[in-house]
Amino acid sequence: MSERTVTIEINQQQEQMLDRLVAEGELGEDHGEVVRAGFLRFCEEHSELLERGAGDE
Amino acid sequence: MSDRELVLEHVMEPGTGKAVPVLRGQILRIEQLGNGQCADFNAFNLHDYKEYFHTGRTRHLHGLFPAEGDMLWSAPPRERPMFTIIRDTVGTNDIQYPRCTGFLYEYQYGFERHTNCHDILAESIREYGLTPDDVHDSFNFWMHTGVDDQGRLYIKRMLAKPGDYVELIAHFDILAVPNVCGADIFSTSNFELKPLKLQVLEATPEERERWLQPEERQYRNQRTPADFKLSEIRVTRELERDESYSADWPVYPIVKRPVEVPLSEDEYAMIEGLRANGGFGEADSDIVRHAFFSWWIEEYMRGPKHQHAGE
Repeated sequence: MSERTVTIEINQQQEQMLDRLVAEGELGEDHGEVVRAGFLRFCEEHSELLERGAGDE
Repeated sequence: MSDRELVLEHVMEPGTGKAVPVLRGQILRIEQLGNGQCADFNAFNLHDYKEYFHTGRTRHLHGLFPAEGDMLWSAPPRERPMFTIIRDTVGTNDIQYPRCTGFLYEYQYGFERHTNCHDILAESIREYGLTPDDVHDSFNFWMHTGVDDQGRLYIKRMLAKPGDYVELIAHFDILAVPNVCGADIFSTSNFELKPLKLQVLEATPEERERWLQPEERQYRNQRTPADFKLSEIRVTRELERDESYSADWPVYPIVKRPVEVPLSEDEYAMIEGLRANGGFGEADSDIVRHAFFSWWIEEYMRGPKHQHAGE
């Protein structure tokens, strides 16, 4: 599986939120994994947006 | 509810209002005596008038038309529920429109003297030593309003009938200030001013148990003057710079750090889908950030979400 990396910037407050998600242990073991998991869940829960986007192309 | 003890009863005639203490666990009841009359409403902490009702926080938490089950909140940085609406037989209330004023009637209609909520509220609170500057944005009971597709407010015909009422339970000691809205040339009160009946009643033990939290403050950020760097109330009108002032911001500086988000090619394609949909930004990082935080809001945020995904 080829990988691509997207870098986002977060501030210290958002970092606290990611720390809590990491501590919950469900989404991943570091900030990057947690953001990836949340991003994918959003896409899964809003698949209509992806389809709508694909339809516009 | 006949087992509630009556503390006070008063009929507000058109052109008048009434400042009335409503202590924690007491119920303010406002009842229609005629065919639809709006009651504008202000509220202050009885022991600290600088804590007062805030339409903005109430609108934020309960939407444009609060009704039964919703709360009236005090202004930042206090931000406590002042009242809960425990009964509302109509369900059309407004917190968009500001109180009507003498200026409004002069500017829009040419009246130099006309009943208006600001002046009635100001006269009502004068009984407790407060000034016209202390009147604030009002909760407008029974005012039936809407928002058109251009985002403009409008006023509809009042639906309340004789006998309709609202009941509010106080979460702490409050000076409640309802008034008979002075607008007789808007449809606010169907172009006629009518009296309203006020009652203050002791809640039953069951009602206290159901509606009141054991503590008047539940969160550290429901602040009091003890939390303020400057807690004295000014006694002069002129503003002068404090030459010793040095800024001490609550969170500063804001420091950003990179987070690397690994994605497979299939997962990366989702970024392209969201980009094509619009509403998530243009850069990959903007889209991932927007989608991630949108998910977090949907999953973790308490209260109304205040966003529509992908718009």
